Amino acid sequence: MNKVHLSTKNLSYTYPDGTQALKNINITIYKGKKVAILGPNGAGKSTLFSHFNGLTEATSGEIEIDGKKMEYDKESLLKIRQQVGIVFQNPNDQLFAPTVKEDVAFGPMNLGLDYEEVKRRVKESLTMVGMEEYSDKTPHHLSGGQQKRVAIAGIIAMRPNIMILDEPTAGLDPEGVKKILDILNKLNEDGMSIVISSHDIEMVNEFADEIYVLNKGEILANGDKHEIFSNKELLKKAHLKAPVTTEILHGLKEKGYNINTKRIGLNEVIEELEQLNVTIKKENID
Amino acid sequence: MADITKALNLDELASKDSPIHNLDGRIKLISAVLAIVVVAFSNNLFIPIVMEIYLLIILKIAKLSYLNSFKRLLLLLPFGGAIIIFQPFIHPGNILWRYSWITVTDVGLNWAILLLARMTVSLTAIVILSSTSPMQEIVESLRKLKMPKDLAMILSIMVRFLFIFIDELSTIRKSQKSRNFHIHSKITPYKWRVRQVGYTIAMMFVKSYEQGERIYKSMISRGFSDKSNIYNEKKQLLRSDYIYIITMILLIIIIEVILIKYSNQLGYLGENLSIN
Repeated sequence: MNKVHLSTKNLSYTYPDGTQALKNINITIYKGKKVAILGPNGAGKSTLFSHFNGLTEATSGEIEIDGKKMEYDKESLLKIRQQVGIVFQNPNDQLFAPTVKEDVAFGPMNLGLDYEEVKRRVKESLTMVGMEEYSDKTPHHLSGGQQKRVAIAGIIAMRPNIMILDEPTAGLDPEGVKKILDILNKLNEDGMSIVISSHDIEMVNEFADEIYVLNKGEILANGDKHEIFSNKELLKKAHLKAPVTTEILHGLKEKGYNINTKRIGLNEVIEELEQLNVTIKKENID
Repeated sequence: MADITKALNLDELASKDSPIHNLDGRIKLISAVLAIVVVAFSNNLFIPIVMEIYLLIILKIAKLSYLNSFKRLLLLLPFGGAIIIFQPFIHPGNILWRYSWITVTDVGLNWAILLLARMTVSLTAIVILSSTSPMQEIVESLRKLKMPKDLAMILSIMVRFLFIFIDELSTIRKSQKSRNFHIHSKITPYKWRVRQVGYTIAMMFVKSYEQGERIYKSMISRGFSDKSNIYNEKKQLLRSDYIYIITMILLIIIIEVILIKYSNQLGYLGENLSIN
């Protein structure tokens, strides 16, 4: 399971106007992992993502997919774009076909699949994201969350083995966020590597196996959620804030309780609190 | 914003449920073209009148309001109507009425009546088509009728973008309205108001350019290339589709036969009113 899926080596990118957007990025994404790139607005998350399928060519450094260096000729790019699916932040950028089903069919058609196969994939992908009953609707008439799910279905239909999602939960209601995360977790269980970008701390805390903190085009740190979210200094530096659970643990520690501030998962926090032997008065709550 | 909201309403209207709405888009498109071609080549009033009656029956079956359809027709009429209005005055023939140098001739008047009849029927056909098929269905039908791939793609994207722009524009307008901007407001200087409208238009250009870039990126991310095909869902024609188109064709054959056999008995309706 510990095979490297996608990696960047000293990747740098400078915009034509001279702004350096990315500086020496080294990221390693292992097969079947859920990775989050955490960073404030303007950190370079979207720019970084557009390198992953060759939309943007790095100024220096390189990208490897399945151990193979990324080439930028037409044939290789078509192949890469089948393997690496990108879901854009704004569904309106992605959904342009007059109906949902035609939009989902767009990717598979570009793979040159025959009609029956395309039809099957459209149905399968829409069922997977729970949007099958909307297949004849216009994307324009759907809600934000529904549009997002259709956008994801459009990528699923291409059967990539790694999916990159730029701010997948931004602007969605809690129910919408949950639906997206359920879909991503399911895809991940089926073996797909998932990379998301976000500044939603609580969501990342719940979702990611591994976190990279990106700020001003540089990777500040990487590690699992325990390492990242217990480091309040780091989060402050990256214009982010700690999850509520971290705040609780740190608060208790400051008050002198013997507590492990790295155990920030919700269930872990509950365990930590229990082992404190705090007498909590049980009242008759009925 | 009335015109834009109307465009949206049209699509809502077009998505309703009726025997006509449920017909295949191709059938509706072909029928509309057929009706237009038949009346455009008719040189008497009989064909347009029968056709109009038929279309009015279709309108009823489609559960469309006569009043609203008539209003829509009136909105479209001026485009051709401007040409018709001059016809009675400019063609040589027997003079029916004279006022100083202005004359109305029988040939001119007949020609104007014929043109008006042709146009009314054509517009009725268009109104029925557009109020019973959503825009994307018409595009889809054109594609299925073997429209060239590149044109179909452009058309498809255009229809989609129309709605994005309407949204974009109405967002800007709403934000202006909520800060009390009004184009006819007398409180602010005229020049300033015009400039604001200019900004709005400029912003639409910038936004459309950027949106175009982003869409293109997302398209190539999904493997789009010049060799790509568009997905056309294969749909079987139903019995109702066949019935509709056959009725249409039968009607045309019958009126043509009546016209050839009994043109003398039809009187004015059967007369050749054409000037060429």
